[in-house]
Amino acid sequence: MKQQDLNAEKEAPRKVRRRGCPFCSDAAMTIDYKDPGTLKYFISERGKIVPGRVSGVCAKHQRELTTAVKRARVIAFLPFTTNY
Amino acid sequence: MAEAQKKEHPLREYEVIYILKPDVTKEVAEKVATRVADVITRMGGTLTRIENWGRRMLAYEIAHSKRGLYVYVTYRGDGALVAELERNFRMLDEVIRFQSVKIADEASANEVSSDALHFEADDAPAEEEQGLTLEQRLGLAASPNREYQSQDELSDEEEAMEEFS
Ligand SMILES: [Zn+2]
Repeated sequence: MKQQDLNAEKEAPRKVRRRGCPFCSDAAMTIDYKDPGTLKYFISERGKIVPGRVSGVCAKHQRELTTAVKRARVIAFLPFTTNY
Repeated sequence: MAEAQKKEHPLREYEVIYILKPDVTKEVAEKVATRVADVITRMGGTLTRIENWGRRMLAYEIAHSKRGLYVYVTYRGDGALVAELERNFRMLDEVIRFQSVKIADEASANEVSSDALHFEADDAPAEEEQGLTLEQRLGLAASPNREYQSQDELSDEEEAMEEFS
């Protein structure tokens, strides 16, 4: 009985503010490692990649974004960290 | 040799960005660009674009440099050419970083404009302006601006370059 209650609570619809993926909703938005101006909106102040669940980027574009950020880091368009 | 490799390895489209030490002379920058073109030709590839992106602030120090001279190159070739080009970059002390990226599995047959093959060793104007539209759309907190090269810093370099031209 108690267990049932817990489950019911778990499945109660959560109110999540879902922002659409900016790359899906705007065809003009492209992911390119050579464009750090766009990429920097998806990294934190420490230089970490912001999770898709936070930024609203869909899984497909998050994968592309991750690759682009890593490439941008190698060529020093973006920092690996900002600890110094 | 180039003929045999052509048959075994398909031609693809690649791009490579390499970074030179910020204090290289115009002559050295040109020498490296010429060498890149030579390697591509020698290995049976085709240079399709070479652009000087100018001196830019690096996001972190590389080889004790806070900035570097960026050069952007696209070409058609096979995997052996990529390896040979990278071997050459490693040998050049002026090259402090490079990164090759495959941009297409099949090489296009598009004509190459001669404009695209002209390497301008003078400082190219660099930074693209940073739009705010995306940030507004996402409603994300503003991330701090990375240290990109300011116009003031650029002009010092340009003055220094005048002596070489
Ligand atoms: Zn998407």
